[in-house]
Amino acid sequence: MDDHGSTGILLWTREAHGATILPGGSDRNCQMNRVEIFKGWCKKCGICVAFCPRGVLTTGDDGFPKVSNPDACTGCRWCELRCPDFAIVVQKDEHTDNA
Amino acid sequence: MKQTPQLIHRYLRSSKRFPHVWCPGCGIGILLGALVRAIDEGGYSKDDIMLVSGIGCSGRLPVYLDFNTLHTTHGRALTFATGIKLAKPHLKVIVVMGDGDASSIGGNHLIHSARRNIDITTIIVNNQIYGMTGGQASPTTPFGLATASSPYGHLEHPFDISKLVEAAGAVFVARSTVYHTKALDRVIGQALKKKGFSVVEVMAPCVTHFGKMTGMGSPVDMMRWQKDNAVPFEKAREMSAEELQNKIVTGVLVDIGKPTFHEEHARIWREVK
Repeated sequence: MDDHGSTGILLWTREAHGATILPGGSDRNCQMNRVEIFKGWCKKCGICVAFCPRGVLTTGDDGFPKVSNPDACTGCRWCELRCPDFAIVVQKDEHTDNA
Repeated sequence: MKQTPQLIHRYLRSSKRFPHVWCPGCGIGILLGALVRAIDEGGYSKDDIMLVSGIGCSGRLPVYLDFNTLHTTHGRALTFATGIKLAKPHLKVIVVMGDGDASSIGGNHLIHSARRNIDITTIIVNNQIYGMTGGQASPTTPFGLATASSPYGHLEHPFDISKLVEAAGAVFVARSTVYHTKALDRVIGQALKKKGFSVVEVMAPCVTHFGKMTGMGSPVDMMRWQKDNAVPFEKAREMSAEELQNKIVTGVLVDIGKPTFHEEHARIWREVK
């Protein structure tokens, strides 16, 4: 894959792939579904905040979405599916069964 | 379903600048995601997909995707796509057009492609306005709406694009909104699998212009409007015309079987030989 231009694709995927490394063993019970926001691509449209069924996200002071209530995330991925800018991803914890 | 980082790494062109050009909350961005997911689910090779677009905001869509892509002149995406399909029948040809591109500038190409039943999947992004040029009334703008070109209210009645292509002979017609994203993924997947001329009409909010003209303004308001006003096709059959005013009928509207242009051509070829 070529890397010319300040595209952010490589940056985004590197960040998001980094987040997929889930802690195992005793840490497992603490692990929740994680919502990652890539601010480089986010345009602050507010769709993810408005349509999250569990109120996981709120709008921060800077206008970007903020993960305020991470424990409530069920991993439904509606924020990820409706984001027009590919700027949010839910890293689902495979060990929880609350989807 | 693959996760977004995997999909963007695989299908988006890294040499193009991101974030993309569309306005905050634009429905075309959501459609882009749905299209990528549907193609990924269908298991198509990137080399076998041919994506063609015309002019307008939606014309920008193939630019970001790492398939065989072609950005053509206004309204003529289907003519280019027809040529490609005839020359390279093994390609899965997908056309993305806006409502003005498809039903006004390229209106004749649309109905005749449907009549011909050529094996092309057409995605029509219907934002009910000419977005790129500044919010002029398009053939799908609702009656009475004040726009940049109709400041005292639009005097013409809108096209129902799905009914138009159904009447013209399309074998698969579906309508969805970008709010109902999972349904949108599903109908695009079905349209891709269908042999013949398949059409998916995608209701996508133009936040900057349609939102301003209707006073809805924010992307969230417009998505909420879609949520409140979408009626599934099965339910709509039991509703009166008055009840269905200003509603969006969603779902698979037509799914019939008919020999494609290629099949008929092959038959003639055999018979004449």
